[in-house]
Amino acid sequence: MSSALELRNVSKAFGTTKIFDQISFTIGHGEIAAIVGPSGQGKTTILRLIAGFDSPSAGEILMDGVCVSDTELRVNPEKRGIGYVPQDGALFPHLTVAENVAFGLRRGAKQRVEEMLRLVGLHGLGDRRPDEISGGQMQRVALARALAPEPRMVLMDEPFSALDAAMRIEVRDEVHAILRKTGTTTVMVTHDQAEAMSIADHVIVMLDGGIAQAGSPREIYENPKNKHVAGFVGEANFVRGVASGGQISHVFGHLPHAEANGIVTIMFRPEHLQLVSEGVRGRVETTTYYGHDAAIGVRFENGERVTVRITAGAIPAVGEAVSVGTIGTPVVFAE
Amino acid sequence: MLAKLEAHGARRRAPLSIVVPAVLAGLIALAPLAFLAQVMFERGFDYVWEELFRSRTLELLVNSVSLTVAVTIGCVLIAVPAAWLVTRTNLWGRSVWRVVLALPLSVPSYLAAFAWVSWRPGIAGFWGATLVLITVSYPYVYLPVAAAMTRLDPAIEELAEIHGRGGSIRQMVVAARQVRGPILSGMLLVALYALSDFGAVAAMRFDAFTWVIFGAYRAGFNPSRAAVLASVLIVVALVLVILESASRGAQVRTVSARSVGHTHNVKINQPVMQIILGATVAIALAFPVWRVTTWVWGNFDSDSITPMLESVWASVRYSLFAALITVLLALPVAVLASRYKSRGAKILEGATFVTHALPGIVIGISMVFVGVKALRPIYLEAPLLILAYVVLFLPLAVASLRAALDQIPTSLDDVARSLGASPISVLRRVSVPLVLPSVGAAVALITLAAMKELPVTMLLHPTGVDTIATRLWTHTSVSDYASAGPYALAMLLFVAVPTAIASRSGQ
Repeated sequence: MSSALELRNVSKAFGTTKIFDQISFTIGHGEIAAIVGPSGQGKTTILRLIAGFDSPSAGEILMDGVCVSDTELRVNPEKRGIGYVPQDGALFPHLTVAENVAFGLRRGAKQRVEEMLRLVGLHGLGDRRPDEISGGQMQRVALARALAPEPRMVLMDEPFSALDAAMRIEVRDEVHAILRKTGTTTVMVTHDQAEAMSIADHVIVMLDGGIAQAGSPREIYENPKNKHVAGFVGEANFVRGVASGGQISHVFGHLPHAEANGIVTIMFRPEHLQLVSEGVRGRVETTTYYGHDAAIGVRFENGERVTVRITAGAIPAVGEAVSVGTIGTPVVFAE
Repeated sequence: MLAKLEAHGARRRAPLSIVVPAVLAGLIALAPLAFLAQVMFERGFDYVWEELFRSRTLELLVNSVSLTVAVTIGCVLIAVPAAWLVTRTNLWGRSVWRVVLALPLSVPSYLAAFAWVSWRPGIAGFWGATLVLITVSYPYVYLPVAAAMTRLDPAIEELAEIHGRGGSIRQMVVAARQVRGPILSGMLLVALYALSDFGAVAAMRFDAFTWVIFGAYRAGFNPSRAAVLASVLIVVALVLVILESASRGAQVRTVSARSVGHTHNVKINQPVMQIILGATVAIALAFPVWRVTTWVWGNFDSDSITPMLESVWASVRYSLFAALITVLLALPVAVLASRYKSRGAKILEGATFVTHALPGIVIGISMVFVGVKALRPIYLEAPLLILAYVVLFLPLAVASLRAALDQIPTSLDDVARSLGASPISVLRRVSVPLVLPSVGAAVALITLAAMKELPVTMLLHPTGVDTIATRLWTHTSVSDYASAGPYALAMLLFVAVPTAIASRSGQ
């Protein structure tokens, strides 16, 4: 069976400005994929190409194995059967909530509208105007509107970024549950790696105008391909290592490693470090208290600095001498 | 960021159902110019050359340019202090003054001019024309400058005080310097208005281009000369229009979050300022109203009511019909310009924009040529008059619809497309319903502007049918103010007052 969506060597440039180059990925049926990366990577542009609002400068886009787009726009957006949820929700301000949801349906599909409103938990608000509901409700209406015509795929552009922090997590979890329930293939764009990790089955990390890595959230967090990905998808401590004779020596000791040679970088996540009684000695430089945990910045005697996450126990004072130990196997990057 | 902006302005092919009517609109806008050129060269190139370099032509140019310069300077001298007083000082009754000072814009220039001539016939000529044009056009500077000054950072007055520049005139100069952009674009609008105006210079019998073009055509029966003079006027006007659109880029920069609602009110000499503003409004607004009342008072004749109402009906009929057609034709051009930023769309928008530089008298005689040469059956019939109004007001309609369309986020179009709507149905189900209030406002303003319009109406109104404007002109131009009275009153009640209301609600 062919995949729901496939991009083959897709590039996009506006005039002489290259946005991204030679991007390829596939997304399976029912999968939730998140394209994540800092702003300016052309993430929104990828969604616009998939939706058919624009055509690629090179490459092709396939849906269920059929080419819908190459350098000439082949299939118009209205014929693609794609639900689109833009950043601001973009509800039609002159229509009621119910009329918004009904926009993509045949006339008289009242039952479907009711069903969709119930799905997103807005039953009974159908007669409201978009300016009479909250930001979170707007996003849910936008999703209901996109899902109503049973699209083959839903595209979401930074769907939660306009919401405040408390609301964001609530709406995100709800949207996630709805997408799971309906089994809708979804491509979401976000600059927030935590959001991407928590919602997606498949994360596509975009850095420097290309795909840096794609895989499951765990794969990307635990086995990042390079330092950039490691640093982008979570907090990372980098320490220097010297590899020779099948092992790497670094500040925490030795690590058996067959392939590495010469200077390497070793990455520990802050939660893979802990304060111990016997370990590498250093001095506390900073402490940041987050409530559920705290981050302790420690400077070692060799000059290297790491951040240790501690979830319980006393928080050492700045200037205090501490010892740091490791948990698990770190990731090694060649220099 | 750049990528995002460009992505939204992405080139897409516009459907034929939008392109075809838009091209039609462009052709209608430009056709009169083609006929004008044809008439201009009818007597050969040598004639055009000779006519261009006659000393009389130079004299006209000097007259028109001096009038334009004098009016523009006068407007700045009135409008900038007035705008400053209502926005940055502790003037009593600021909010009332702010509204009242904008009202003279709705008084037709020829009505104001005849008000003066009927009172002191000796005023006719350069100074009379200058006075009248200042009183009716200073709001073109006043409105944008007042709007910009409201948004100025209060820190500018505080700074001026710290530096020991507390005097109120100095304070005004400091504020005015911050809004140079709006002052400049306002000045260019006034200059275009003064250069294009027919009514005031005609009433004042001042030999400016517009008046002489009319004379060359009407009295001299010399269409080629009228066309040559019109072409010179077009060139000057085009320069102003280009400068005006270029100046719009240079807008106010000193805008701060704290400017709104928080003003450091400069203390001024209340009685003196009240008297100055009162005098301005008296001259620009109260005076013409008073004159019209004296024309009607004591001369009232119940027999004049029927022809007056007939002229009102004719004005409304032609103007409303013209406004509806203008807005319908403007819509596809505005959609192309706002939604499909292709080169073709730019050319089309430019085509309608060029007519914006054409003074009413030029469009009037060009449409006469169109009527005589191509559309003989409807010459001096209602359809040609309406067509002329369409040409005259198309730029206004395109600009206001485009501004309204630009306000609609393109994400709404995208969502509608993704939900299965074709470009045409996006227009029908999303864009048009959303710009409907602006369409309504545009229809109202164009209807009123057409009712006020003089030169085109005078040249093209159907034989035997008179509008308020033509009746008013017929009587006042022979100093029969008693007969003109009812029409002047009708003009104030049915045109000036609604214009003031409509433009206020449109802001």
